[in-house]
Amino acid sequence: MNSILLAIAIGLICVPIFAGAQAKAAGKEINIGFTTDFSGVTASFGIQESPVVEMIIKDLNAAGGINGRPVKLFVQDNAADPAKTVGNLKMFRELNKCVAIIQGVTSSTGIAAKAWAEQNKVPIIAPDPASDQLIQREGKSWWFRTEVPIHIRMITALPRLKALGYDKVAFEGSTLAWGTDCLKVLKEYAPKYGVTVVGEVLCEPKTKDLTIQAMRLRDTGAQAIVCAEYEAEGGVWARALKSIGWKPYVFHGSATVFFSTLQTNPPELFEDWEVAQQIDLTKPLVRQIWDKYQAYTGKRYEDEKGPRTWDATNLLLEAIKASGNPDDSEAIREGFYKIKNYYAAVGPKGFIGSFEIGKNHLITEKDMVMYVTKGGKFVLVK
Amino acid sequence: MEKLLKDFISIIVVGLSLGSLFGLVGLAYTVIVNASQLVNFGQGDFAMLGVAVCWFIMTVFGWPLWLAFPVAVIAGGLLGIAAEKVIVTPLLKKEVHPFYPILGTMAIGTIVAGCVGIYTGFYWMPIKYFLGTEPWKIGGLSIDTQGAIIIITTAILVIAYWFLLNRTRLGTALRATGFNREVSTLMGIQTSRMVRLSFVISGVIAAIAGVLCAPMSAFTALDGLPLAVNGFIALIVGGWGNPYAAVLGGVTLGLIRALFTGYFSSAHAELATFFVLIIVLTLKPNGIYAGFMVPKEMRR
Repeated sequence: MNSILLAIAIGLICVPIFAGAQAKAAGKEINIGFTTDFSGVTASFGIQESPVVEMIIKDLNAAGGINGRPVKLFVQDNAADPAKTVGNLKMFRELNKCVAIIQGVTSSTGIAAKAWAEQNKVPIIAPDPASDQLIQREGKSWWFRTEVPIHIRMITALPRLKALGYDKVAFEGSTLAWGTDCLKVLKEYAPKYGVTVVGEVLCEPKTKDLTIQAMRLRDTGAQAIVCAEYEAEGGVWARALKSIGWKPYVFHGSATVFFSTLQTNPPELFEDWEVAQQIDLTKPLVRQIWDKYQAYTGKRYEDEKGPRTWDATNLLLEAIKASGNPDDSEAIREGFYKIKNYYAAVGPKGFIGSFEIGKNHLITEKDMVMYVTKGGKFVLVK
Repeated sequence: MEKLLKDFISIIVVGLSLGSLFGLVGLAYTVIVNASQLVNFGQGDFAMLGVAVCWFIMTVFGWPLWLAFPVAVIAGGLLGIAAEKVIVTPLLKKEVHPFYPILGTMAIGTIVAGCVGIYTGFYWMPIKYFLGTEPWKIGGLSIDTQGAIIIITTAILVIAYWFLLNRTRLGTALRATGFNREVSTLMGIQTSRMVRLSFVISGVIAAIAGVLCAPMSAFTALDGLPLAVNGFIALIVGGWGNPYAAVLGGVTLGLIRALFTGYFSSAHAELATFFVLIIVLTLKPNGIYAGFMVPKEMRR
């Protein structure tokens, strides 16, 4: 009798302890790192994108988190510096015990982050870097992105150029990796479409005048120009073209950069310039994201950055849910490949995003949408 | 041949406008150097502040450029006063190594850039072309209007500065302070006020340079530094301590950059700038125009 009573007593004591432990495990935070450029040359990207990450995590936690577990976000500044990025990633893993990471902005930090992710087996997803060096062509990746690789933008441009009858093309771009990568890809793919690259100019960041460069390209006999420079130089380039009275067909390689360029320069300088976007501007989800962003921050940016960051953050959360074990980074990496029914903000209407072996990005060239600039606004090219 | 000549003239015009910008910043440095033997390493951020104030007033209050510009210039002058009162003079009174007030000016510049960056989110502060984007057509040549305004304004400022230094008592006092502070003090010149005045003038010139330059390439809070570096190189290339040499140094730099871009490579214009610096330091360390407009008896 005494032993039965003792057993019951022990059982009664153990139940609350056990339940408490379960409750503690259920409430245990899932730590995610977020490192992007809050300073440096691409600070405007990081500062614009971070509210998207914050508001998604906030809404998720308000709704109960993932299986009752809140997500805790650890945030650090990259300063567009690869070394600082790696330092932040180490801190996320060793100090903050993060199981996965969101990373922006530049390709150089992306390359450093991808190498780190592979060595340390922590999955990373990035909304921005565009370099083709970040494509995982074989095996499963530890690094994912929602931005299109550069070659996809060029592949979208080249058939369009050919269809319009432009087979002599010149290139104008930044001396930074984004520009040089685009030039390399353009030269590689142009012959396949019967297009010849007849001239190229690379301009340094913050250059004040590009009149001479515009004259040089005009003298090559180019019928069209592919541009891959940053916001400040975009306006300078447009003014240079106007200054010398040359109006070639212009394709801009980055919708995000081009959108910012339009905000900071007179729109008439960019009339009829074309750009390939990876978002459909009429897609309800895209407009919802812009509306939510405006409600959260008071600012409205109708460009790709918000939707890309939205998808990057939500894909990470979906991967955690699909992993079956939110404390295991390897399981989360596998979770990325299990996502099959994610309705993405990027891509055309109805687009379902997924990652596959050999494809660690979402969009392919058939999902890109071509726009032309009219009065400072993007209008769909039919 | 006609095309070659047209292209060459276009390159020269571009070089002149760029060089005038560098020369203005070099002049701003020299004003302080001459009065206090100090370098203001926050000079670029003074220019950036001018842009930020101009943009803020136009965007938030909706004022036109012709009203916002003078306010921006005043802001540059006020920052000069702040830098002098808060950092420079207190440190000079403590007779610390001259490096410390120089470092202090860099700190002030960094703080200003950081504050502007936090407010703007490091986003662009666009200012429109003063006279529109349509270029002037002169004899078949297209001339960028903003570039022309920069050249003209630089010329006016240099003439105004010459007039101040050589035709006014204030200017004489400024020159005396720069030449020998101890003797100037003994002669009854309030040298601390002259130092303050030099910071004000420098801040005003820097703000003007910033606002003139901003329409050509949208500024962010971080864009004071490249202007400061090129202005400092203009000062070295032209001649340390000679305001007219600094301007000429800037113009020379601008022309060399433009010629390099036009006939060699557009990707490495910055390299050309530092190449010129190395050559000048090696062959003529006092500067190419060190003796320009300096009386023979005062040349070192």
